[in-house]
Amino acid sequence: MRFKKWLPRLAFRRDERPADTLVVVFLRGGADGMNIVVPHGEDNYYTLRPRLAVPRPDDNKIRKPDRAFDLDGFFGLHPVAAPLAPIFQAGHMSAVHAVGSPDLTRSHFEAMESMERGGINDQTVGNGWLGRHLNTVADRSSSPLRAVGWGAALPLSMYGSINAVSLKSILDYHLPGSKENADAMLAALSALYASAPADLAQSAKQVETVSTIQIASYQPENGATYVDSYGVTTDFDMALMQTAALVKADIGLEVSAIDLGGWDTHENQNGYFRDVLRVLTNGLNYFYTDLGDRINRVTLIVMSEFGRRLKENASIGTDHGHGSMMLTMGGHLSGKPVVADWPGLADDDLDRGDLRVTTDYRDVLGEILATRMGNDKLDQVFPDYTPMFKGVVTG
Amino acid sequence: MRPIDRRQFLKLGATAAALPFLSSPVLKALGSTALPSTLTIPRRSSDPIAAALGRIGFGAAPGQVEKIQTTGLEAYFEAQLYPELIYNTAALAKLQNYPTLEMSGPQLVASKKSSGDIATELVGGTILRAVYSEGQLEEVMVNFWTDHFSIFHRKGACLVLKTLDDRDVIRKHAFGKFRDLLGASAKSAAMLLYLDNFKSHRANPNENYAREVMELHTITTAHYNELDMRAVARAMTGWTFIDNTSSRNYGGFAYTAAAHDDTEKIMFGQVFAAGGGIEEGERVLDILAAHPGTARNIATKLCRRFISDAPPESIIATVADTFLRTDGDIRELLRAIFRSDEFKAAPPKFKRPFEYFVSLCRATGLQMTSPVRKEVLETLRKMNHYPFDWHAPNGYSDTGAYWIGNMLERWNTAYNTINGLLTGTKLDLIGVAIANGAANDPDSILDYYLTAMIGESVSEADRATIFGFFTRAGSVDLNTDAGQQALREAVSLIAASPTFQYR
Repeated sequence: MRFKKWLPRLAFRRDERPADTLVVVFLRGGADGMNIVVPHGEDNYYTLRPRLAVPRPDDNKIRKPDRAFDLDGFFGLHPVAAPLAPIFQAGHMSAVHAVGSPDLTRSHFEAMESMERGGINDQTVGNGWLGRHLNTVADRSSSPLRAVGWGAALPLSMYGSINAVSLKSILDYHLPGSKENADAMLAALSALYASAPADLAQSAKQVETVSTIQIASYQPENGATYVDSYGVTTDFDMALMQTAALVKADIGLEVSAIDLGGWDTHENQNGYFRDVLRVLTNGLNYFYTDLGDRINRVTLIVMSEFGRRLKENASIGTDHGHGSMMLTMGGHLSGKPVVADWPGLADDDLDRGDLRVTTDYRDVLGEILATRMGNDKLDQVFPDYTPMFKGVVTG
Repeated sequence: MRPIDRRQFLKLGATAAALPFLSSPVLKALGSTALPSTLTIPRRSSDPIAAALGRIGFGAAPGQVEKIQTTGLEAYFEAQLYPELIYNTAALAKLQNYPTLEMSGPQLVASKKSSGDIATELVGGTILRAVYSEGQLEEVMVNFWTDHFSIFHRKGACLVLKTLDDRDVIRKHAFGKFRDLLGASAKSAAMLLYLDNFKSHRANPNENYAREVMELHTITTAHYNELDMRAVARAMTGWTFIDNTSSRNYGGFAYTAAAHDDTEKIMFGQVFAAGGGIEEGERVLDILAAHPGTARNIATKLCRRFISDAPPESIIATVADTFLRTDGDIRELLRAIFRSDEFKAAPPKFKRPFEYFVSLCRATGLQMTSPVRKEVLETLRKMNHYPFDWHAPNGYSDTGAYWIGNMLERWNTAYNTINGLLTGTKLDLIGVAIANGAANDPDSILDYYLTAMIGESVSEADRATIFGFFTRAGSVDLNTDAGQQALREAVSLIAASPTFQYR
């Protein structure tokens, strides 16, 4: 195999049981799922969103590029997300709709906290669903870099596992000062930490491992550029690119968590929403392209703490709602572009004016953990809920 | 297939101190080293005074151990229980730039300072006091009760009201009787706002405070059921605060009889007759403060703070008994802990980031200007331990398992702090060492910090690693810039070492 100069030669013990790398993208702010995966077959969607509804795929009064891109005759993609359509058509991307949490809070931080903790009732439990997942599979591998949260701090979903590390960027993940000082200090710290307690020693190993990855030499494949038409590479792109690099480095990355903010579109949604949806679309596109065949070893989830109200508000925006959609990307999806127990959007079908939730978010997360991540202890990950598998992924 | 532009990489959060890291040797053969089967826990200092200062304070400052040797540790501890009698001019001088710390609610409004600035003053004041106050035990207890009665300061006006709570609830009652502390907290505008009791009305009782005051602040879930909780919520209706910023009593407690549910209630197996007014809520707090579940809860948390993450049952029982016997006299609880065998034999405890940073400032004699600059505040934020910024009412965790990990941020903190890269801070490593007895040569000066920070019982191997790092470019001449840099880097290494992560 051609030697890739940026890969560290990292030997670590691992199970032969195959598991995907799980990538969790959290859209912060309550993303308007109904305008991403558009229920163009619903009349009330158009009645209640006179200015914000995405035009039907067959609406001849609108230019074709501005209409929803049809997925299955009932749902479609927002035109800004249309570049993802080929991935849907390849069966490597799918949506789950009318999904959400039983928690009715409309507070961002309460909803996020509840979702990231996996809906545990005991308020004093501080760990998250990904942290608990990593703990149930803790002896599967001795790699120091099993889980990465991209950003300044670990997301709450990853709390509770010694295997999770937060990174802003691999390039910056090193000791400060001159290069000579950093190298010498790392060597000295490795010696001092060699006989420290396991959690502490693990942290030291994580720094060592990440420091040796020459990420600047990484070359994305298959034409993926991670640069948009304005020459911009966003933090979101960088997180996905570094995830792709770590996946290809085969150093035992099991979970990658990425945040994308800016979804709290209370006003003038047509502007902001399109911008942030474009960022999401571009990033997912680069990532998919870069991975190539490796998509068969990856499952990616896009989720948000709640959706938005069906009826648009007076500021041409939407307020905090409840039910929404999740997106999935991977090599082993169900094959349907949209998976949903669709409750309908007629006035009687709504839940306090919101899209009714018919699939618990943990049904999706649980099915993926069990089927793609080999976790057979879901009761430890979601102790207060028993997931029902809806056929989102295949084993 | 073009590679990513190097400039784009460096755009991402590159700091002034980080140089391009692109030409280092490619690979490091990490091998498949298993961790040694006998893991050594880093040793606390064998000096009982130095060790105690990491428990009843935020770690020894230069010369402090010697000073306490003259009076004895017991006398020092007793004096710490009465901070109002401690000579504290240095800390008080630093707080002169923080006038809001002494202001009432209306004065805070009149100051025209933004709520963000008021909150930043409180955080800065908290850091300065922890580093410089002679009343170290007071600062530890303020930190403890702040987490126990935790308030997320970014919830609306809590940014401003927490300043009142910090002074009039936490600091005022940190060493008093638990019932007084609980009562002050129940009437605190910040707490009433944070846990929503301010809007609790007999037509729509809010259960948030009722649940948390029992679950977290006092008896714990083992000792109440949902019916009790709903009854407590009804008993606390009408307890609110004056939120009109034009009022002369802005931020003060108010009881609104019209909002109070004065029907009969049954709670904790007792009948509360109809027509009970504010006294109902006071009676609830009386019951909670005197309950064995509370005694146990507070005892466990204090033992976790002062002794270990999993404190022995023997000391928890002793402290819980003391709580019940003395009606929750906090000084007595601390005396029971301090005098116990379990305290003397306590294993090392992993420092939380705030404790780590403060102990680092103290051990190196760091000088910090007031007002505290944002680089210092950001240090705590990066380590995820920014004061008053924990969302949930249970406060920042006090167990090592939660905090261990992400050592890089600590190592970077150690380096940035000791190299004086935090704006508004200054160190004189050589001067401090010599003033405290070190001979004026490089090895002796480094040895001073080795002993002060990680104890004289450091292993030969670790000592060799540290001194080897110090002299890696040859012998050190402290009269040169390079030599002084070498000293700073070596002290950073000590601060980053496993032992200094524990107290």
